[in-house]
Amino acid sequence: MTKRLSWIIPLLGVALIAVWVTVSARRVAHEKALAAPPTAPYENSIAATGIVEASDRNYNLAPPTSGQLSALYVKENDIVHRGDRLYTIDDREQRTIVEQAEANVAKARASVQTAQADILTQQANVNSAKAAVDTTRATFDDAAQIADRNEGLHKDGIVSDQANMTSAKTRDADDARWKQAEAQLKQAEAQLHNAEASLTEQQANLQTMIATRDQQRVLLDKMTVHAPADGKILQVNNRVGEYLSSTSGTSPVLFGDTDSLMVRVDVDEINASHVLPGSTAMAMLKGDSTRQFPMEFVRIVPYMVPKENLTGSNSERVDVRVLQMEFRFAPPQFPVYVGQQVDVFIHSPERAAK
Amino acid sequence: MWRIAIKMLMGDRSKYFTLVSSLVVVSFLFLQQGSIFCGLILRTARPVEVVGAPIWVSDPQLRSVDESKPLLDTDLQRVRSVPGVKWAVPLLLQLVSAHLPDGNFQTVRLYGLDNDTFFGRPKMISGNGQLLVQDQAVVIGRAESEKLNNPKPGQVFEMNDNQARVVGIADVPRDFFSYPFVYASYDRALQYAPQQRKQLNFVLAAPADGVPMSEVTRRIRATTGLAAYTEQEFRWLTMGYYLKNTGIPISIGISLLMVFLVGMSIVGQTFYQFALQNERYFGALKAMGTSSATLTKMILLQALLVGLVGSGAGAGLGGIFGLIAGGQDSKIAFATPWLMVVVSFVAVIAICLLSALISIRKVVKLEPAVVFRG
Repeated sequence: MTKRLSWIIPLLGVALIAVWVTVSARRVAHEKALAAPPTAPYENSIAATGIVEASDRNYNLAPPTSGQLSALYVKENDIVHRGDRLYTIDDREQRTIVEQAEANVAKARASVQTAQADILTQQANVNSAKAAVDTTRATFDDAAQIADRNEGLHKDGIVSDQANMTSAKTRDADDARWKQAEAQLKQAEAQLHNAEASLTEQQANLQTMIATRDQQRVLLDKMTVHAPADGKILQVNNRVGEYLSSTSGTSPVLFGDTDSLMVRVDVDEINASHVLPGSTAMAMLKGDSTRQFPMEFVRIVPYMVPKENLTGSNSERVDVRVLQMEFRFAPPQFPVYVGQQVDVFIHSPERAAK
Repeated sequence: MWRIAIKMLMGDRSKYFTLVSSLVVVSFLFLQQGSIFCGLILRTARPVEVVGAPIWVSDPQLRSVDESKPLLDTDLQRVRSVPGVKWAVPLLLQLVSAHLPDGNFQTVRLYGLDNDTFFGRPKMISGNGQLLVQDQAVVIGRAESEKLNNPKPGQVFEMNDNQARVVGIADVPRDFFSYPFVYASYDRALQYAPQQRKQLNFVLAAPADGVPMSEVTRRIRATTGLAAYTEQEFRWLTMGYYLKNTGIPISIGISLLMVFLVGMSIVGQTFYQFALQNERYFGALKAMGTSSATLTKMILLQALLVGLVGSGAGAGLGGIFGLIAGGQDSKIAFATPWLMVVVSFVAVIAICLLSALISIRKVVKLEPAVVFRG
């Protein structure tokens, strides 16, 4: 009995501890990853993150001045051509300024015409004064002749004193009239000059007014933003009636040429010296690394910029600089959108394992 | 001769029982203390195990998984660029304060898993772990979830003034610090964690097919200057930190030593009494011409036998204790690796053999004439 128990109990004990050891060695169980993490397609590569952009970057079409958005002519996905209207800032005020300027131009134009009419009047005055001079001179010549003859005849005693004096007085009066007419002619000529100067002034004023009107028209025109190139509307951020500040960073309309897309890739500064111009690269959509597409090198941006946090931070933290590279790619079978994040592997055969 | 030794041992049941039961207690105590030690230390590595990543990349100065020495965001890309790395994903792991609906605060261990792959998701018990992709969604570990008032899917609490909605409960064992585990997407976790200049704590990586793990960790270290560990290395780094920097080894070491000494004194005394009682038989055997060497062997056999029986039964008790009170979800940190069983077995046998020495000395010095004394 004792002997049998001396076998059974320890064996039972060993079995129990074996069960417990197995149980306590159980590892923590895990669920499978929701998606396969991106895997390098090349043996040696530099990994980076990228963002899809319209070729030649995206246009941020900010308003030229602050104001209320009064009209929006496009919506997302619209195809626009160079020069097409995109949106208008409230231009009522500017429109009245232009109208005022136009009225000013009309006014100035009328002033010019008045000045021109004035010149004509003054010219007529001059002519009339000239005629008066001629008339008075002729009258004076006549009177002078008569006076000379009467004087001679008076010396000879043929003409009476009375007649002689009368003719001399007539002559003197005609002389005075002639002088007066000449003075009036001078005055009329001076007035003509004056009128001419006034015309020049009014013409200059008209030019100024036209220039002002044109300037205000340009300002009015600028309040409607036009497409700078052919492309597609990627984003409309504001609605009609919202106030836009010309200093704020977001533009009401984001626009770009989506016919050919490219990827802007941020390469960590420490890896920057390992990437070479002309490298091929493979991009994978974030969240689905099976959706990948090859890319062709376009350029390396020669200026390194502080890293923008593409991985979704709660505020911007600048702690490292990145080298930006641009790659273009042919549209793959699946949709790729501007602004989409991609994981990028840049082929770099030189980078062998250390 | 062996048969005589066994008969002599088991003949007196009460003596035999005393001897074996004292050894059972010693063996059980030794195993129990040792398992608590192992349980405590192994639990320090739990935060590593729950992720299940093949390779951990961290700041080179990091001493344990509980420290936070964040990396730059771009370090993820640098690790991805290392030849031989199959993939790499970010992991945020921080202690944050959760604000519960009843007004209480509770520190939780927050995991921010990669937004796209959610690598490191624990096994779900209830709810749907795939809902982690939703805004504000968190999964909490079952262990310690009572500290968050046992939330059910759909209930909410706050971290860093951001609302968190429980979408599932995961099968996560308890860790050393007894903090509840909370899982969220990386981006969400950034909102939940107090803001720092750098937030990325770890990069998790896997070796490419055909490249040995040690080669990949070496390459990551050489190329990036960061520290890279295999999962086992990282577990041991953490456990080593707590072995070195806490009182656990010395406290439990002392109690193990006490168990050893007390066990030895009890078993030694019992053995001595046993030898004293059987003096006559040994004397007779000696008188019949049995050599001292044979007698020594007999005593050693007896010692070995009680040692085997006692340690086997004690191990069984330990197993029962573990199965009832231990377990990964138990508050009692109790874990028994094979090595612990071996160590406690060796210790018990050593106690027996050392105690047997006293009786051996007695028997060897025994005069055969003792048989004829009263």
